[in-house]
Amino acid sequence: MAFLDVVTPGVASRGPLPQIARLADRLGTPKATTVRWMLRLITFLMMFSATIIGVQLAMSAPSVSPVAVSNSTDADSTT
Amino acid sequence: MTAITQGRARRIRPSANWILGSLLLGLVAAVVLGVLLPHPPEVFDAALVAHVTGMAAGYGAAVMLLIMSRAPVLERVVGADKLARWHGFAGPLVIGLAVAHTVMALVAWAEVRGGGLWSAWLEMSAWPGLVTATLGTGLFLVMGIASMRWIRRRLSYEMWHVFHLLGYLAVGLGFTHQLAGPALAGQRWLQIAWSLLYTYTFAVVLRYRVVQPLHQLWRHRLRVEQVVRESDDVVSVLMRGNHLDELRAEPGQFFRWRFLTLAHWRSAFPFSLSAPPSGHRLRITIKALGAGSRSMQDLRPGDLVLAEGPYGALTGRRRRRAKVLLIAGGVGITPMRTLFETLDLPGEDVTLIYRAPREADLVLKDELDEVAKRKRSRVIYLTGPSSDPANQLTAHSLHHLVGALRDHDIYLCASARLAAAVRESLLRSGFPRRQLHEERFAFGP
Repeated sequence: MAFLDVVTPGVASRGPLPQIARLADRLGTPKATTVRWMLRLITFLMMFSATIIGVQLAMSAPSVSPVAVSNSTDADSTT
Repeated sequence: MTAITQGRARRIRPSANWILGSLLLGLVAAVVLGVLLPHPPEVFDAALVAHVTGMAAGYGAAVMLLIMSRAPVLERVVGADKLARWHGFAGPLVIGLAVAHTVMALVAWAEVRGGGLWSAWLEMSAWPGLVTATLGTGLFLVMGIASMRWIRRRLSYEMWHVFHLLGYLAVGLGFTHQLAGPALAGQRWLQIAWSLLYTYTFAVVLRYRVVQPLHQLWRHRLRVEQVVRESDDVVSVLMRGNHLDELRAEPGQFFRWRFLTLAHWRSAFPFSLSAPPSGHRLRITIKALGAGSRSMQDLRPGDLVLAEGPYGALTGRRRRRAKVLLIAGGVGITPMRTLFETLDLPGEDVTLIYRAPREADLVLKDELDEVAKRKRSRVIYLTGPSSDPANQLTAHSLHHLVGALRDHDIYLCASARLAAAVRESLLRSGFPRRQLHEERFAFGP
């Protein structure tokens, strides 16, 4: 059964759903084991990306407290 | 996590308490960091309160997203209803902490500078991420107000859900300020750990709230096959799909169903399976209790269905005793119907008590009678007014109906009022809490 066949007619005529359905049909229906490994791979890639993004964000965060910055600015302007 | 007991490696299974304990331990760590960073406090002042509330709110916001992420381990071990209750209890606290942090930080900075709150705000607004964080706190407040009971009652579910989704934006807006704030700035390893807490949380949310439903839509291609009228206001919806055995749905569990028609696609409804799942078919039974469930009566064969799940821990796995008593009230019969048929016990050790106002309100009665006959189990129907002592489900009357209650696990699914009455009566009589299993359904975020 093609995915496009099960898309509700009223919805199928609108938006990107028919394109997504056609793409899904092209992928076919793989075996359960393949699907399980596919999902594991997706999960791994997502968590790996989250690690990279998380570390990058932390590395690009300020290393000096804004309180210290404000205080040192005051000290500079006083001297 | 493993432990060695008497020379044998024994696996410690995570429980709801274990997960709650871990989350609370994280909160303690966040609070300790708030106290000790950027340096241990000399006096108890507004700055200390601001640091502690800020760290607790930041940690709490991530945890709120995590517990509603639909991650299978949380749904299976804790249960969707308990997670929703944790979220409902802690959510307002997190919002309160975020607001308290904002106010106390302003007060603290005004004290340091010896000026007013407005001038303190003008100065602080130049700090990295502070304007966006304040916007985030504002969104948190809007979300909290929309969730207040008397306002929520006046909003449609869809509108309330839109307000609630603002929470994701609010959390995102506060993120930069958390890394750049006085507590974490300059502590590179802590910044990395805090940042990972957030990116992992968002990854888990994306994985299980977006990728998983889309995967299930593609893989199972579920659609309505038949809509059967069970009574005036109850219908059963039979759905057909592919590879449904891969869902590993268990009797007693529920899915969040989103019917992809123009009238229904905006809402996902939690309904239990009302028949044991098979490789190609799933069935739910819906009573028209509100506008949403009433609209389900208009579903048509062929409608596409996006099913998120399975969720819920009201399954045979929870059984500890040799006998089981199932108590259903009204449409709460749906998970009990599947458990009644599938519990791995001799039929005579399973009793079902089904309470409904009228005979005509007993849905799936023919099926229940057939299962009872086939398995030699007992089904007791209680109909009529609640004022009739014979219809009151107290510990005393249950004991009278089934014998020693302590020999039973009791599974309960009924309206909030009936469930509360049964629960209170049982617990007051000394019935062990761990032998009482129930799932309280409500729309969650």
